[in-house]
Amino acid sequence: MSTKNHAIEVRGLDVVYGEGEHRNHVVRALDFDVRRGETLGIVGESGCGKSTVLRCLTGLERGWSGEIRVEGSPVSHRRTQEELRRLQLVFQDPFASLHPRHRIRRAITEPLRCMGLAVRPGQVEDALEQVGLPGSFAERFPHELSGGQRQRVAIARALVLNPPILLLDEPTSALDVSVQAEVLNLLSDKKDAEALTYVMVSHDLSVIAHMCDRILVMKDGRFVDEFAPEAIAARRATDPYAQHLIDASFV
Amino acid sequence: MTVPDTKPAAPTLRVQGLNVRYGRGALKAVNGVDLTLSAGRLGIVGESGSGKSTVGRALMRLLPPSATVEADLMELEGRDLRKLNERGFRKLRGKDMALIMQDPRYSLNPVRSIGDQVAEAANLHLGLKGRAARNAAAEMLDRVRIRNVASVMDLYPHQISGGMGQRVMIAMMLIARPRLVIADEPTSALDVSVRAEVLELLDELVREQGSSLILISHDIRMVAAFCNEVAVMYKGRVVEMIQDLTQAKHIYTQGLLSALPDPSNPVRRLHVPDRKRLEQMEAQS
Repeated sequence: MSTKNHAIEVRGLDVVYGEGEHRNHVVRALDFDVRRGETLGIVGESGCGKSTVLRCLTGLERGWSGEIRVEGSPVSHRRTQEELRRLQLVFQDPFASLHPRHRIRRAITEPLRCMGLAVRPGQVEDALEQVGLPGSFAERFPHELSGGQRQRVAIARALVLNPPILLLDEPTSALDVSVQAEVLNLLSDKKDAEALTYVMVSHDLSVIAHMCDRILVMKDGRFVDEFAPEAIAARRATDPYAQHLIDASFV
Repeated sequence: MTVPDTKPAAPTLRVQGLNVRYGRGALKAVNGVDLTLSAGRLGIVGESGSGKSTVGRALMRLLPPSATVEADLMELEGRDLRKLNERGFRKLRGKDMALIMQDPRYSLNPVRSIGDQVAEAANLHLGLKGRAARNAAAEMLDRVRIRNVASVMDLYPHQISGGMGQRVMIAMMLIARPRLVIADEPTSALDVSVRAEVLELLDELVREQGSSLILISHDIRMVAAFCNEVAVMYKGRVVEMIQDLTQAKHIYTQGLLSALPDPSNPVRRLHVPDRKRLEQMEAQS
């Protein structure tokens, strides 16, 4: 079933938390593919399971069942370093995702150290310059940076391992609109320059429509609709929930 | 005019030359802001650090002690707010003007039931006691469209959803029929599909009670769709007042608008505000 053009293939992904009375079926038998070089958007409201899907893909979530293939090869709950390297995640909140007492240099080299790779001289400076920050920021602490700058650092940290796939969990929802524009532009540029594949999760339909080639709407652990960004512009969806989401997003 | 029977009423709120400083800093968080509001809806938009929330809190006198507030004029229905002492202000706060904050998870008391909290508002501002206060609370919760009011009143804030929490906040804040309601990002902690509902509810109640509303938000499209007039704030100043988005002339407002992704007008790269030009303009003024 595996095709060379698919960066990610998911079949029958299921996640259940708790047991008995507290059993919570968060993700229900999801099937989806992400083509190489595309940006797939997943929209949904809090608690629909969208972030859990990303956590399963990166290997942060252990209790899933089903089948996940990354670049054609199946991955299990325990990942090899190479499997971990291929998928990198950018978190929502740049204030929480950087260690407050580690300098930026340490934040960026952390993935390299985890993978047992050597840090080239000048590599941190290069990584920072790639995301439009001056190399001298390497010696700063997170509190000396603005929200947008921190999110750039988080992106630099994700890209330092040269992953083919980047998972973005609400990457701009903690940022001001003008800063959001800068970060989204940076993501578009990086995608073009390094032929990356993105999976982007958000509740903001206009951001998703701007960034994505294809959009999945998620509700209660299932995908209820799929459409192209043009459908958001035309404000038409087939599923009533998706339609409601579109209508509510544009007052 | 749609309302024929009222004479041109005095404005609910008049503010002139409002300045706020924090600590001993020379930087003004709010710098010479003028606002006039009659029965209607005024929006204040701006990005983080623009001073929009500080304006709301300065009006409510809820800023920390380190803040210095100065104004040439600050009147609520003709009453000079600057002359009120803390005791007088406490009578007015919640009764004549109310503040709805961003996240009901933080603004509701986590260890008291919903019913108790709304009844407390009825007790403080309407002077109702015991049974009567609870009945008033139940009636108000019903008006914010809470189903099963009786059982919800016994729940605690962590047991209800964000949208429901915000409706409870609205019930608490509007029970005293305040003349001025200040809503500071009332929907940004909520899911997209309940945002519109909460805003419409707030609007409906505010209209019904003939109150004025100040809506503070970073979301310029939402505010413009909802308010008669919008004040755009940048670095402590109101850079322009607009009735609708097409009137936006200031480069900051235009920058803000073009930075928003618009599904009906897809672009390859988003427009980023020209910060250098903004700084130049600031230096000149």
